[in-house]
Amino acid sequence: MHKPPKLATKLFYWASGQAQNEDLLGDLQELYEDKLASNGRFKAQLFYWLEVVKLSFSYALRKRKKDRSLSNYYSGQKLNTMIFNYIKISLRNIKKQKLFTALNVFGLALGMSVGLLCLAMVSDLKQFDRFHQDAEDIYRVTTELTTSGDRNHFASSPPALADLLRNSSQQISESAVINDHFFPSIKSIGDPIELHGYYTEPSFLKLFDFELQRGNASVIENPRSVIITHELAQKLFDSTDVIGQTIETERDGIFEIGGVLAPFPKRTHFKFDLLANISGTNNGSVIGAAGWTDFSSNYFYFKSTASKAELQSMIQGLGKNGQAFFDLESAKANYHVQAITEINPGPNYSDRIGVIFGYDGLLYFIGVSLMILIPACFNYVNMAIANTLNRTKEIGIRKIVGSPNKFIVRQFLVETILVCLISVFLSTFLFNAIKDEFTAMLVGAEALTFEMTPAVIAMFLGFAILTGFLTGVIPALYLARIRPIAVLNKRISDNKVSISGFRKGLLVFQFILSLSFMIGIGVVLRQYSHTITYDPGFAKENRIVLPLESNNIEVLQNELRAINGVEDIGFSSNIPGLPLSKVNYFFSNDLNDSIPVKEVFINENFVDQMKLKMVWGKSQLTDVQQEQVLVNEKLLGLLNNIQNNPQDSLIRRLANKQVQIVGIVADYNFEPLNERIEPMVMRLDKSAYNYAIIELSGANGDATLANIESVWNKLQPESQFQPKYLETIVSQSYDFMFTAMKIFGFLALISITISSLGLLGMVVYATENRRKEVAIRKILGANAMTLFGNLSSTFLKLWLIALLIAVPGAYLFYDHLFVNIYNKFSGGVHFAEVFLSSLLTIAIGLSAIFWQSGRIIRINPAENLRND
Amino acid sequence: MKGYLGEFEELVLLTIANLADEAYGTTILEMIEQQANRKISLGALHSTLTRLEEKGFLSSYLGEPTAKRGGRRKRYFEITQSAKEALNNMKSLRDELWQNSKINLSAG
Repeated sequence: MHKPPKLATKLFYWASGQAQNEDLLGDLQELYEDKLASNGRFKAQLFYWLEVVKLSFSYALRKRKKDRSLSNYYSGQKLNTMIFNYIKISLRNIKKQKLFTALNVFGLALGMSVGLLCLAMVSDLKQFDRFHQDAEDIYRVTTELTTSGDRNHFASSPPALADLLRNSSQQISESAVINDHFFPSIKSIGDPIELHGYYTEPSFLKLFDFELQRGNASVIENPRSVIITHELAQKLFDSTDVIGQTIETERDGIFEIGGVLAPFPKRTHFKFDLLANISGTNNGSVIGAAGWTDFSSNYFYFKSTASKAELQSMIQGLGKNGQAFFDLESAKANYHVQAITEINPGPNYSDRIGVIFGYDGLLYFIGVSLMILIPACFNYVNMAIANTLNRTKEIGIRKIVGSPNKFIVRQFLVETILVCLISVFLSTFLFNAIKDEFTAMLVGAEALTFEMTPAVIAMFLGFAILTGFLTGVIPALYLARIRPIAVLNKRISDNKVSISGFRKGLLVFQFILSLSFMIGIGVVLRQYSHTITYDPGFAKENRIVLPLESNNIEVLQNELRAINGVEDIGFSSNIPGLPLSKVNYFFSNDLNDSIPVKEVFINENFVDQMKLKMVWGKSQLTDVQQEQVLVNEKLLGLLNNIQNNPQDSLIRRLANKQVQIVGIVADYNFEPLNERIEPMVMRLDKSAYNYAIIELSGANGDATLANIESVWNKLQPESQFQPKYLETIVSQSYDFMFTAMKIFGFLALISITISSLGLLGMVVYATENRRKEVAIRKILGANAMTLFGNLSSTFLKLWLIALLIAVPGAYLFYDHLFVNIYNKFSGGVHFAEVFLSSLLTIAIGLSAIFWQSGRIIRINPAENLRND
Repeated sequence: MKGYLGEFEELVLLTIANLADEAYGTTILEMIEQQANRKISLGALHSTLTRLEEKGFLSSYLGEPTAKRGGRRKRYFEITQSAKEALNNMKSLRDELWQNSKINLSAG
């Protein structure tokens, strides 16, 4: 006789329970023998396994089990009955321990809220770009460039490679080249409307499921035609019936609208307002070196049913054709394919397109949510263990009646999971309340929908159960270890008044977290006030900003200057101190090295009027044949071929024009302080002004404003007179810091609440356990003050330890990590926030102790000792 | 539905009748596999046997253990009187339908 797989047989015994299964096993054995003889060992074993599984679920076995069982709770339902019993007892316990439960449910609900947000976000990201047909078969080519040991991975790829792939591979059924360097701005009153578009081909709409509402895809074969999104059509024309309409852009000329896209799902990494033809751009070039090495913002997407590995090796093979060009730059190029569904969440590539949520950001977010959740779980563990006293008798009796350890473990696990399920229900409300705030804070978060699909709900429940399991397992194991005899003998635990080291550690940890978050609020607050008072290098007082409409600026300038109270008037394409998006390229002499520069158009007296400091040269640009420009020190530093002698003509190329540098402006913060000072060029161009900046003398402001208004309304009838002070505009641009404060505030609030709840729980049990001690002390003559000191000394000690760890930790973290992000212009952590946050935490702690110990101290000692 | 005989159930009953004294799990299964050229699992077969027993078409008793079965006993099945009646009813119904068929049913 041959032995069939042992595990399978065991499984079958387990599945049969009480049922008679001898004959079934016999049949199985016989069949196994026959199979072994005819089909060999492996097949026979597989067959045996399959038969066992089928038999285990068969009606035959169920019927036999039912017949064998003693009651109508036949064995098939045994597990359910036990679970119902666990749940029943858990509910009774939860009801009995109202305070304990309330503290835990509330704490866990707070703790889980950020975790839920994290989960919902991840599940949203998993859905990104899934709506395209055959989304699993759509890939893009990414480029890994190694230059002298420096490795850089780009989401873009050489256009020449895309061309080769298309021409040589039959495996690619559909493909599209995209260039996302298309930033048309539409002229309008005040700020132009900045758009972002993709240069691409008609096949873009075949490859991806963006449906056209009007027009057809082929219109973008015409270089002057564009397809716009539904939202843009609504924004510009208030209608989607706009085929044939034109949009006039500042730099890119006039486009005719050839198609309008239907609204498409938000969950895609693509983010564009309009699509235009790619052949009109320089970047489409596939010839020679430029086709290979000049691949920035050039993306290649394709559809193929071949396997990823196959595509990968094919592309790497074709990529070798361009290696010669990379060799000239001593670089090595390597190509990869990335599935469109792997883009979000995905690796953080350079030169990315659209909305990407990288792994590192996600990891950081998961870290924060765990940091909030873990203290709440610790609270539960802490209180459950502190609560041992109340449960020892129950456990003792259970054990004497014959319950094995695992039943007690299960009881506590079910109890914890139940508490977590109640919490997750509460937490969902919190989640709904914070998700909009959260979307507002995160760049690109508008692509997240946070839909409550059944899958998400199931995930939330799963999350709660997992949290419950992990949280419950420590107290469950601890409680299951209790020996019944010892319990009933009262040998344990009446003398367990002190708090164990483990729980002390938990408490210290929570203190540290709340302290750090509170110090964080202080740091951001300080940063904000610093930013507002910081001198950006230009004068912002007594200046009003007016958006311009017409270009008739000479008349405007003259008329405004004539008004009493107007000191001066300047014109600019941008408001100083606000983010600047206009980028141009400056070239050094050798023309190989382009330097991206921010571009500002100003009038002649702008520099003087804004009180910018000059380092060298003249501050006034004059409109002569050879265009004159001003540059800032930063750009000067990068233009390394400037000679320090009078022979240098200082004529350089800007984009495709020769310009002469006539002056150097001292670096000033022309953008908000959170942006580094970047290379900048100032040019003279009447047609490019968007704003008038009027300097007032300060005296008799109202009358002056009224005069300005009348001139304004006469000369600029279509633009409304809405003067704003430059100072206000600049400080409003720092509103994003409030978001940071909101985040810290929210996190601090949650973690302080959680740790206060934990503290309260601890204090309740600690004082409860010391009732008798307090009574005896009182009889011996202790007064309320000494008793209070006695009870609070432990907590004070723990709090001190936390303070000693939290302050240097917070100092290091905020000063070296956090503040660095914001361009390092604040003093970091100060005494004030440390002092205030410590004061707040200790106040919360002491009031909890005061409340609870006051209750105990007030009780007549005779009451407490009567039964002993 | 008491008394109703399914196609597979009929096949099982007839197989047991064919096997007579040797009708137990493995033999029934193997015979069905050979004769009817159908692949069925032991679970499916035993479920059907259990249902037939519930309907009163089968009775069973435990037999002797053999070495090939790892010392386990066999459960033998035999058909009951009501099974015979049901089979007869089935057969006469079919015969009648065959005879009265207005289309020539011969397969060749």
